[in-house]
Amino acid sequence: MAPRADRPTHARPRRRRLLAAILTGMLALSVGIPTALAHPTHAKPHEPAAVAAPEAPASAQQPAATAAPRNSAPTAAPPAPGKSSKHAKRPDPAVGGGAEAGSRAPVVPTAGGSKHDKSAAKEAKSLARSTGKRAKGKDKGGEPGSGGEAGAIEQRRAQERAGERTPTHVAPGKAKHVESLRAGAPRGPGASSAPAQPSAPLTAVAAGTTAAPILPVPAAAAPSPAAPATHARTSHRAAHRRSTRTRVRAGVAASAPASSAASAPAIAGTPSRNAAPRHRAVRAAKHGAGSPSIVAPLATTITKIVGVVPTPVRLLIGALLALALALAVRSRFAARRARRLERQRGQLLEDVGLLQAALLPVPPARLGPVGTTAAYRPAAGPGAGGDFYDIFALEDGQLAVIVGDVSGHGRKALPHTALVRFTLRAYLEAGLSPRGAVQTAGAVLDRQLGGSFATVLAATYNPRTRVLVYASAGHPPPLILGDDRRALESITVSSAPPIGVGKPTGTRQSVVSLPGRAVLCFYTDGVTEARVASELFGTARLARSLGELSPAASAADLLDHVSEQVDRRPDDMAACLLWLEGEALAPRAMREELELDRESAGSERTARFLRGCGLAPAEVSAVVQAARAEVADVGSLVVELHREGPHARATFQHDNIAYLHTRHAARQAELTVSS
Amino acid sequence: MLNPYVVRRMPRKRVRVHRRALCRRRTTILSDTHTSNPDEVGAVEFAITCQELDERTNVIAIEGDLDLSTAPRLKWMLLDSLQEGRNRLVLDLSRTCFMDSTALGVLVVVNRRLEEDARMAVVCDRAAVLRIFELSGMDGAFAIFPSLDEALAHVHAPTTGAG
Repeated sequence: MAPRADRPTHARPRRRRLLAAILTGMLALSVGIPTALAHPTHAKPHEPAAVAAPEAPASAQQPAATAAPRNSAPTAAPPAPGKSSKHAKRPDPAVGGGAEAGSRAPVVPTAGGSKHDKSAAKEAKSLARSTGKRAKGKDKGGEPGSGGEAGAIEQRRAQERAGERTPTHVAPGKAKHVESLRAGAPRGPGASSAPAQPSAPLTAVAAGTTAAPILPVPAAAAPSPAAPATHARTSHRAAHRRSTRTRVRAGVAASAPASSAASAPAIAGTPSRNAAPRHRAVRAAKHGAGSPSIVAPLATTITKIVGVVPTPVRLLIGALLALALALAVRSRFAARRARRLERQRGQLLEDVGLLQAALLPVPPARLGPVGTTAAYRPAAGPGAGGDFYDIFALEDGQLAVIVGDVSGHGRKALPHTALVRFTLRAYLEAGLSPRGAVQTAGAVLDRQLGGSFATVLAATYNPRTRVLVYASAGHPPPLILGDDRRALESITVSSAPPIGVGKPTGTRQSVVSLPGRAVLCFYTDGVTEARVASELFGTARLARSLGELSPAASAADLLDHVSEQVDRRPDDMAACLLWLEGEALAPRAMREELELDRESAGSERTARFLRGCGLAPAEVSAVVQAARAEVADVGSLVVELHREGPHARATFQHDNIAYLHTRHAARQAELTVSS
Repeated sequence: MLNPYVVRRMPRKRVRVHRRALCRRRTTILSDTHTSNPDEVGAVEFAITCQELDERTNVIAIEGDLDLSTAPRLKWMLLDSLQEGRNRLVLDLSRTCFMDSTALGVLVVVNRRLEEDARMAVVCDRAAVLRIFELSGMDGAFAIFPSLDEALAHVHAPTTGAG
């Protein structure tokens, strides 16, 4: 029968037996550990062997090195085909073919195998004779339970095993050896003939035979100090693995007969660097120390538990595991996505910051003699966006301020915001008065705001004359606080409508003299329409907050102060502050201007405005009459009310700014007619 | 000084009531005449009531604050009325506590959509709301009357005067 056929029947029980032996050994040792601890001499049982090692090479290794080639070369030749065939599955097509062919001729290996086994056993015995005594002594020291007799039995069994296992277990080494021979440089006559006849079963044998003498190279290179025979009883596989490794590592083809038929000498001849692992293996086997003692029971327990788990539960566990895996994968993807979004958000915020800086400029801290500051607090929610402001110096040394609010809040208001602001700025830069700028912008932008409208306030301040001129279109007038922290009253009657409501705007303008210290606050209605309880914050509270500010405080301070007081602010807040220095002189309203056309000249609203400016009732009717007559001729005129003390004086001023609006209206009329 | 407008004299066809779900006040126009305590008005929630006087006239009354959150409802109610061909609109703000720029924007939008023969009048006698109109310069753009009767007279008048 071919060795390959009976391998399963032999090898497995043997392995199992070995495992059982190791386990029982470990069990015994775990019981015996206390004993071992009690007798410290047992801790290093191989020490004496190591001490005696120097004598060993002369007696043990020399025979091994010489005997191996002499004995194994002729006798081991027949079994070779069987051995190589066992590993014919290796991915070498050239060898594979030959090996398969060899395996189909089982007659030769059987006879040769037994013959070879005998010689191997003989060799092992002879080796054991030379080293046996030392090994026995070591065994005695290492295994107190088994004693010297047991060691002898073990050794004998190992020798037998070595003999029996030769055909099967040496084979890998053999196959490797054949491969390496084919791959590497040919050695000797056998090797040179090998490539010529790849299918002949004897080729491998010849190769093995010729390679055999090379073995002594590693063997002689490192005379092992450890007693080799001891290892015969440890692990066959370990021995085999070592021998294989040695050969492969050396890059030299070592002969199978040399290592297997006389496995003990082969082991004895392995380099000294393998001695340490060997010692470890021995120790592990003897003491049951290290991982196997813990892992094995654990594994058994787990196996037992798994065995009793019912199938549905197993399926459930599997499903849960799959679910956990899926969730892990999902969370990983989600985390990646979150990181990516976070990165994008950062970039977007940067962009938004840039755009906002373009829309909401940061004014210089001082413009000439005036301290300027501005701040903006967008509302949280859909109301955000729409407020705008600008503070800049004009060519003639004046200072201009624009504040406004575009209705239709949110992001959609932003383009209109920019449009209105830059339009107003351009007209102010062009030298128009605030009223002229607002009126022109109103005429130009009326249809450009896409249904929304804008309340604006444009102002210029001349530092030389200390005069502020402002014009509003539906926007709250500025808050002017003198040195006494009292707000200057402003006339809101007959205010001009916002830009974009389809009505002519820019009809009102106010001129204020600011001879002394003062603070000017331009704000949007978000500030005064913030809620305190159910009430509006209102102008009075804002004036008080402004008065409480320290001199030269920033607009941000004011808005923070307001925010602290209010419960809710549904709209954006924007504020610009101008701090004027000087004496303690109170601000004074100098002049109010109202542009009249044919429709508004005689209206009740105009009369109210005149009354509100301090004109006596008798004068009001006279002024209205005169204005009516004048407007009927020229189309439009400006009533100027000079306020000096409690009294006011009205004058008429013909203003040609209105032509722009008239032209615009005419064009609109044409468009309506044509459509 | 608040005008509990005389609903009973009006030929009432249909009453539509839009209010918030948790409104604690009654839902019919009729009972509006009973509760005219001005102190109570400030604390009330927003309610918008539409009364259809005839086939062309709608009276829309607003209670509470007209601001960013409530102005859209007014807008749609006014535009719906125009859509239905009821182009004589009376907006009763006599019970309105506050009006912001958004509400003003609604009025501007609706005012622009008015056809040639359409009329809109605002009833308002509250100083706070009147001041908002004044400050924004919109008091010249709308026909504002202190009482409902005057407003109705304005919208029913033949097409002369301010509209």
